Amino acid sequence: MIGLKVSHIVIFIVSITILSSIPIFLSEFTLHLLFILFIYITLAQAFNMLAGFCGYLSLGHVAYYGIGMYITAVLVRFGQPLSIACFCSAASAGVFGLVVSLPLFRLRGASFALGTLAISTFMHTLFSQEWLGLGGSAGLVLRIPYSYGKIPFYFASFIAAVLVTLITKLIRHSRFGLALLSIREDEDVAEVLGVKTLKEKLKIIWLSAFFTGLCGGIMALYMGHICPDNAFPLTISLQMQFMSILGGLGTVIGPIVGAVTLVGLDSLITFTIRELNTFFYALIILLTMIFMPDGIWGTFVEYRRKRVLKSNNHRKEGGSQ
Amino acid sequence: MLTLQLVIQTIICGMLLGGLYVLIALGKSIVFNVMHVINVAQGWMAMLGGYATYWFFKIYQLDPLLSLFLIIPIFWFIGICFHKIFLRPIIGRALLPQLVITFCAALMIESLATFLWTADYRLVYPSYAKISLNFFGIKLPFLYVINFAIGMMSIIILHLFLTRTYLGNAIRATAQNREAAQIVGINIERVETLATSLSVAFAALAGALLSTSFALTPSIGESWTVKAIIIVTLAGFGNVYGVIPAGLLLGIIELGLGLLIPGSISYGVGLVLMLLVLLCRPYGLFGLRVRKA
Amino acid sequence: MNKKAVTKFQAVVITVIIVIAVIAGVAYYYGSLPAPTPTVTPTIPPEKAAILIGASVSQTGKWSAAGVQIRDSFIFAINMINAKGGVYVGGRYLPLLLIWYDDASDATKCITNYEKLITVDKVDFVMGPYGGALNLAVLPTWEKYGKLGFFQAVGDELYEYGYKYAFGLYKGSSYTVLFVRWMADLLKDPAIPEHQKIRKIASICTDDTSGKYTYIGLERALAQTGAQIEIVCKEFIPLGATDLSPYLLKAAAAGAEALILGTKIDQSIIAARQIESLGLKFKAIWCGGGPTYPAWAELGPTGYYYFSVSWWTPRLKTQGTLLRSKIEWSNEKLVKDFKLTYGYDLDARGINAMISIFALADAIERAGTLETEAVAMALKETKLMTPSGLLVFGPDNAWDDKYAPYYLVQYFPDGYYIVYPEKVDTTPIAERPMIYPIP
Repeated sequence: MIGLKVSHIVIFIVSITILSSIPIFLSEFTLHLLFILFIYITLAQAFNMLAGFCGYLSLGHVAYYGIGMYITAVLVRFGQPLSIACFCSAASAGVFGLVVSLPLFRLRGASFALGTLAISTFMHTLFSQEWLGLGGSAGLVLRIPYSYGKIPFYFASFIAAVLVTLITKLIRHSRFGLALLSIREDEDVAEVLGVKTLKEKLKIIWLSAFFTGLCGGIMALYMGHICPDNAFPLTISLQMQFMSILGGLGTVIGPIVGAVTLVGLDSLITFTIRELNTFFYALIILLTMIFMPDGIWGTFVEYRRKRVLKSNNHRKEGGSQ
Repeated sequence: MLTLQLVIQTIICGMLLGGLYVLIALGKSIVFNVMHVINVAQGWMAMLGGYATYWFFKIYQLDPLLSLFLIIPIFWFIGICFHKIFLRPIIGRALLPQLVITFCAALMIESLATFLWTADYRLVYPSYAKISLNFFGIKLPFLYVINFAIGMMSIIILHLFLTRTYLGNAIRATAQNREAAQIVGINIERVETLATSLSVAFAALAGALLSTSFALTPSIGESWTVKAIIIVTLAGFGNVYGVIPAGLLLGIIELGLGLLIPGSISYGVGLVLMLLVLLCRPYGLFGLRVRKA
Repeated sequence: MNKKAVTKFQAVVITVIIVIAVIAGVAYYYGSLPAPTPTVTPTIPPEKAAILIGASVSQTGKWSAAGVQIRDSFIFAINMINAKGGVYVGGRYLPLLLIWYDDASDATKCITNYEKLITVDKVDFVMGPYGGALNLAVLPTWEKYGKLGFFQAVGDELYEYGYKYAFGLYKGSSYTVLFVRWMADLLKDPAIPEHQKIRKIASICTDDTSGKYTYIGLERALAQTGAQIEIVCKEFIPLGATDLSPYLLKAAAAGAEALILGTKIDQSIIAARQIESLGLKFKAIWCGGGPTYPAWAELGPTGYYYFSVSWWTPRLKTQGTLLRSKIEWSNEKLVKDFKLTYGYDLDARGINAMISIFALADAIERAGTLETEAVAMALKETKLMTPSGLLVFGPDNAWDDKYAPYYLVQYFPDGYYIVYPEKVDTTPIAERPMIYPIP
């Protein structure tokens, strides 16, 4: 385990314990907000896995989200218990990700991004067709008994967020993570050095699509009704990108910071300024991007790194003098 | 049902339509080649151009074709401002920040437009829009032909500008090799600003022409941007002139398939095509095998 | 060094397993607790100052065109009612208060808004967003909390799922009914020359649920009247299609005499322009989303004499008295006052919102309580005069077809007017004689 510090573990365990014991004290709305927050954290981390670690920008990640939604809906209609449905849909989203990315991974950079975008837009059109039997534009209704309340959803999304952060952290400090970073830096050189780039990329996209699909499945159960507009919304794609980059691509905490900032910003603006809230929302993100190009957490990490370098330099100079 | 006349009609209309989208795509391609920046806000610039035409038409009863002479300089200036505010920070940065920043710009433009002008549809309908020309039984709307002609003319003017003037050559030089251009003494900053102004002006031109045929609403920028992206991809990133046949092709495909296949899947085909092109011919259908962007 | 790393790793793994087990156990425990039932207060506490109505309105995005007007109409209707004290319930007059948030046409945001409105702001009733997908997403949330509300969209699919406390007014599938009836009347009328009768029609509808239901409604209406009219061309077009000439040409080639356009305003405008420029001639053209929108005026002569459906015009001579505080209203005065207050013209979408408020207030008074079940029962027995006509709810919580005011309108150079039916019972409805055949 490279660079795994005890302090990190302690913080992690403490925060998990706190977050899992508070739900009973929270109001319905706070539960809802936290639920949405955890879902977004999971989405941001999943996106970050691919974009931050591996360097592949997937603009159409919402395709896996939507597939997770629809498969969950179909499975639930066939009477499968909910958790199995979620897991299966996540797994199939992962498989879908594999299948789709296999050809796509021949592309790099902007072409890859556009390719994924094309796929997700195509999915939207495809699922609106009547002949698929999935309800066309009107979609499907899932009648989940409301007596479940919010708490199971809270925990479901919380566990997903914890899992994904954990896995991201573990990857970061493992050989797998090193391989991904090398792919991000220079793929051809990595290939030459013996990294099996295709295999590593497929592994990471399976994970990324899995968690995105899991989020889709949980949201499908929460919303109760899915239709192509709700399953493949452009806003989710955008927000995944915003969150990751706002927080800091390529870091583990970054997406969490980004998700918290974005959800907080969104709620703040929606419930205070009524008119023009998209304008201010976009403006704030824009300004943050211009002044903190590495993202909020990313800038912090950079700042820390520079400070360490500076003090190292001073020490070196002092020594060699 | 499916007569030859219908087919030819569809093909020609498709071409005319595609010709307009080409203008937006051209702007995008220019910006990308010179600065390696993907400007997502292009479609929204076109939307603004459309609205400008609408307001000129409504308030001053200015004919949309005449108002082009006003719109192009105005948007040239807007392009300069846009470059200085939004594009300068992102040149040379990674892909995601570019997309995010330009998309934020687009969102800001759209929400301002919705706030000021509401999302109700607007229409520019000059009196000569009703005429339709008749070629051997094929009916072509007069306006489509005019728009297409103007579009083609602009492209020719652009070509002349790029090849015959100093600034034009400077743009091409920067696109080919940035460092060499700097060495030769070209003012890169000025060239980049010029490229942006050019592309914004083109987008506004496209928007102005499109607004005479279609209803305007602030969110239409999104679909125009998507079409422009598809066209630029089909043409290949390194190729500016390839957008012309690519755009025409897209117009024909979208319209033609709508005839054969019922339902909205025909629009998905454009996307599938884009995907295939990306996979099999990354330099685009009409691109040159040479440099990759 | 190696040994230490392995031990640390094992420690991490074990800790994680323990933590997850703890979380799972806690979750199971909480999950097995009975969920708190929403408390219902049958009597109104004395400190309650107003009846709260929550709404999520789209100020930006796809559905924003209607969003602003719907919000303004809510406020207008509420101010009208509050001017005379409010709604009489629980022994006193309570004013209405609207709390609204913008949802930017996004489903997740919409759900978040309603969660806040219902759980934090504690609204008593909700009013719906405008837009099929948004409504589909939030109706389960309404049902979860047992809140009653009116959605502001006109999709048929919203009524199909049996949401007990969700009410709406209009259904898209009934739009074409009167047009079909008029065509059937033409056929039966011996005074009309043969070449003016319509026997073949074409239908061009969008390939989404609203287009689908328009077509289904068309077929149903044809079957109901038993008229000998044949649909010779049936097309479903993509929503983003910017050129409808192939479909229009197909319709003309099939010999259609009348055209039914089940499209939204942007495509209707394109269709109208292309029909003109292609030189196609139809005896009558009915356009679902078109002549009743402000943008149609910009078409000028091209858009004249198109038919459409409207459940309201500014000139309807409807009037009535509302609530116990006897609020006198008349349709014309509503239109004038609205224009004075907000500066733009009221249209059918805003009327939808106003009637929702009126119906809700009326039902609250008759129920005598704010309790959802009682108000829902009261709503089902509504017989309220509204700017559109007499409001009676059918079994599926929509405006009952027998009373539903879907008037056939035609677009004249100075706006759209009702042309058919000429009268309902003895009340004259038609505002102008129809112009047919189209010059």
